Amino acid sequence: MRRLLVMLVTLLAGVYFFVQFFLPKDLYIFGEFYQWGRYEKEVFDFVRVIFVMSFGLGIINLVRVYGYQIVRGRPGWVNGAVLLLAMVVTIVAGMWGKFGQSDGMASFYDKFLFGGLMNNLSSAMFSLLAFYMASAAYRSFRVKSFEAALMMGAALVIMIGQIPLGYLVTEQAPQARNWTMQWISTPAFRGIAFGAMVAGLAMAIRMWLSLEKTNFGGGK
Amino acid sequence: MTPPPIVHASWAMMVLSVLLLAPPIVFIFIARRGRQLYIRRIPGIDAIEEALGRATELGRPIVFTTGMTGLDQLLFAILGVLSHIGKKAAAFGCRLIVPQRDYEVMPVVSETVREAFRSAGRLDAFNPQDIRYLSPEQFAFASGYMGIVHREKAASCFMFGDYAAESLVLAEAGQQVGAMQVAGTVSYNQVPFFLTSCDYTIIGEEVYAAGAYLSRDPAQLGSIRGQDVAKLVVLGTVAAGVVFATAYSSMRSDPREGTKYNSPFSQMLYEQPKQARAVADFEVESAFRPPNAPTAEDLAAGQTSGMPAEWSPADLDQDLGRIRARYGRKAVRAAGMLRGVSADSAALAARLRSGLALVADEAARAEASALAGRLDEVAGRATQESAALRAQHRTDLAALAVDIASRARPRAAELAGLELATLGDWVDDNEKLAGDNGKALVARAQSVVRDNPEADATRIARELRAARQACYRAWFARARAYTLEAERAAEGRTPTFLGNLAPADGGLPLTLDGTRSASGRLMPLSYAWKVSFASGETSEHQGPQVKVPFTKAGDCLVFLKVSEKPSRPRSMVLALLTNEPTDVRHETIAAGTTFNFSWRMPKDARPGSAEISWDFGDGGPVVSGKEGKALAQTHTYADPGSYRMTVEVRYLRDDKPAAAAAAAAAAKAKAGSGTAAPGLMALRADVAAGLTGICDRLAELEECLADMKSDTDEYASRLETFGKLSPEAWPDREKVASLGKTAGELRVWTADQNKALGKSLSAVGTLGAAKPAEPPAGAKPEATPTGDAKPAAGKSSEGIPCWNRFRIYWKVVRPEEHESRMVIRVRDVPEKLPRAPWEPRPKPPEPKPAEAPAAKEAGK
Repeated sequence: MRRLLVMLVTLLAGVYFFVQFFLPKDLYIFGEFYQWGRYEKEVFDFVRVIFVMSFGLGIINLVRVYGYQIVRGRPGWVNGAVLLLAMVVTIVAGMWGKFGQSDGMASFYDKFLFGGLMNNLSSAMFSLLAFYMASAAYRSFRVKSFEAALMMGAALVIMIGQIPLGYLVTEQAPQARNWTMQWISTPAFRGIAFGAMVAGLAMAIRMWLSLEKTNFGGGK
Repeated sequence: MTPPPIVHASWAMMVLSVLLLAPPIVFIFIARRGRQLYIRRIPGIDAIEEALGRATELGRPIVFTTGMTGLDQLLFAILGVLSHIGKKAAAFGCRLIVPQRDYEVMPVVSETVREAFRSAGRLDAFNPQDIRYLSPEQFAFASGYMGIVHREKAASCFMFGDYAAESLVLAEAGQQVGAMQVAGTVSYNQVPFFLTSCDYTIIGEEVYAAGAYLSRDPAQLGSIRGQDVAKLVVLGTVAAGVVFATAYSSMRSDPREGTKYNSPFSQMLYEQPKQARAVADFEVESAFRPPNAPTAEDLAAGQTSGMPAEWSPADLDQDLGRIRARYGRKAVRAAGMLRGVSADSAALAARLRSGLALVADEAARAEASALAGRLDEVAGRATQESAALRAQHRTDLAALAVDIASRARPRAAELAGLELATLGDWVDDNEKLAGDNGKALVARAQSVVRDNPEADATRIARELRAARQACYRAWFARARAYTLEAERAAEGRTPTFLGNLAPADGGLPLTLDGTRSASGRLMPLSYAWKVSFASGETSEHQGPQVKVPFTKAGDCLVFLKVSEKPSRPRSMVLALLTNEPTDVRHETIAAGTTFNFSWRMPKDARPGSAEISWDFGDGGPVVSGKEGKALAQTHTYADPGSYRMTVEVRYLRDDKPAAAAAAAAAAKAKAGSGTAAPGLMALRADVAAGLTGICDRLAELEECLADMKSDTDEYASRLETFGKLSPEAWPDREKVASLGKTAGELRVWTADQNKALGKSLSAVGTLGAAKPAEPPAGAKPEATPTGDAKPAAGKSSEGIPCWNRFRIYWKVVRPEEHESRMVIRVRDVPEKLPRAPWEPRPKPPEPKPAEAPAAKEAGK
């Protein structure tokens, strides 16, 4: 019964958007114009409510998992405690600043938590990419196979065409770079995107018609 | 979450959707009926087994992440892989850690792993702590993932899903601990990173196939086969598109586009040994588009420019309905708010009266009584208005649109009749071009307008639209043929343009476009054109885009000189955009550019406190001074070179928290709350709270009424459009206007009450209190614990000293110029286009009246 209900709700939810896409904007029936899309706002309000519920579900799940870890004193409980503490402090500061109209708390949230901690820590992680790129580039330049040689060749063409000095190596370098990007790289990316799009469509159909049910919560 | 714009499928999209959706569905059912379907081997997926075996041998955990994947179809494809890995890990006794970044995905993933362990008969080995939530933020998640991989010394890492810039961070973490890594992503920008850092990479659609490959579920296998067939459809469509686009590349569907020609100059410039600084390009358009011709969009909408485009009774009726509904909702809300204001005001008046005895001061008591009286008035008026609004919104607006379609009929018929007469003339004059279809549609529309009094405005509009489209399409087909001829002519080495060269018609206007020229140094450009006509005359023009009429056939020479120019005197305002005290910029300008610099004082800077110094860095004297003229300077960089300009400002900033604390202290002293009796304090608090609530509600009501007023205005303007269709007077317009007027008056009243009650609110603090004593002359401000001088009420603090520095690195260069030229050939059209269907038939010239015989004789 539960599965049937889930299938039915999934099907109906999909039907709404399916019909909206395939019906014309103005539907003329028996002398009257109808617009299926006029219910768009209501439907998205409903979706928003569901999203908010899943947000609450996420918080409950977090508290359950890490609360258990802390209470039982499992290894890594300190990390869990820091995570929960950070969550509570951020929520309280954010809500207090917004709804309590406290400038001090809003400033604490914006400037300290977000601007001071979050942004700087993220930037620090992001800067690591520069080193990792160098390391990855070194590995990719070790020619071990025909494919690796192709990759290295392509990378050299792009790099020489990209840098200002490349113009001195050969005047054709920028054109070669553009040509490689435009006629080799872009079609390949588009091919990947096409394939993924079609596969995503097939997957969406399986989900919509509830043909996908073996991974969790169902099966035999 | 804002709803996305609604997109409706075209017919082509519907056909394509069926072609793409049908194969997966068909093959799923075929597979379910037991037919064995072959799926090719995917090495990356085979490597999953190898990675699992490795983790088992080493006795170290497996880490699986879904990256940035949200709750979408990709996640469900990945769950197939995760489920397989979970089952194997459970069977081999391996630990499976799944770090998460999405709170919606986490329960789904957790349930999948649990289910996998259960189906392997090892539910006891499932540890919920291994499904870890890290952070929704990209790099915070990446750092958490790195930590887990390093601490747990993962033997195998699986990265499946959607990834962004963090992909390399994740993949490198596995590399560092020597884990075997398998990645699968549809984010093609991240594929190179995974290729260099992982042992196996599954790309694009293979990720979707992985679950089917591993599970061998018939539905999934059928779907994979189906999507392969769908891909063939896409490939076929692409191939067909290439063939058609190549075969018909010279044809254009919209004659409005005219002829476009890209000169070979840009190519020539790139071929020069040094990098081109400026690129000239020409485009010629609108060679054949008659003035005031309808656009392709107009045609698609069945409307034309210059025609009564705005009248479509069906649309108008819908608009009116929508506005009515909106107005009704707001009216109900406003009535509710008015009722609330009434109840609150009455209650507050009663509370104020009950506490009057506590107020000792005679004047204050009189003031409180007056306030209670005003509140009673507000309550009475609000009740009255609420009832009026509730009664009004139901009846008035709804009644207005009932007979709108029938009223619009006569005027619609009149307008349609006029246009149909023009179309009828055109059909008669161009019988062959209009064809049987055009003739029949025009005749039918005419008969509906003339002979069918039952047909309402909507029906007339539909008939007219059909007739119009038939005629216009026929004309556009002929115009397209002209365009085609012109483009064929332009295929030669010398671009050739066909057109009506008759000087009486203004010649053939060609737009010469140099806007694609660009300065490599992002400097402003000037354009000088010189055109040598076939007749030997020349003309000169300035500007990026010029329109030149050609009146004589032959070869013409067009010169374009594009030069970098010192711009006109530029203004630059120096203001801090960041929190840093020093702001640094780099700019490239042409020598001779003059700048008007000024410093924008921050809002909280204390007037008169600023001191500024200007060092332009080109050897000139440093200008410094106090606030006033010194804050703005004019300077010209005359010679090429590199200069460092430095501007330093010192000023005092108001200490806001100190000022706020002083104001609060003053308010407290003014209220004299320390001396009031407890009952009086409670009364003050109640009245203040009550008044605040009423004021808030009045402010909200004011906003709602303003919306209602704008709704009625919009309704009236829509009716105005309808009014154009009906010759008789429109009494409804006055009704709507009166509704708007009512809402407007009510709004004014609301605003007045809000203002008056707000004033009363500010006086509540002194209710029944003695006036505060004046501070003794010469009293010193209190000292705060921080040592700063804290001012008494009404006096400001000393301010915080601030210092800013702006540094601009100028690169002053000599302007460059580039000249290019092109030969174009202009030819007269062999035959003129027929008159367009929206143009009325030209009247025949009137015959000159015969001169009177007497006059003739007199002349003799």
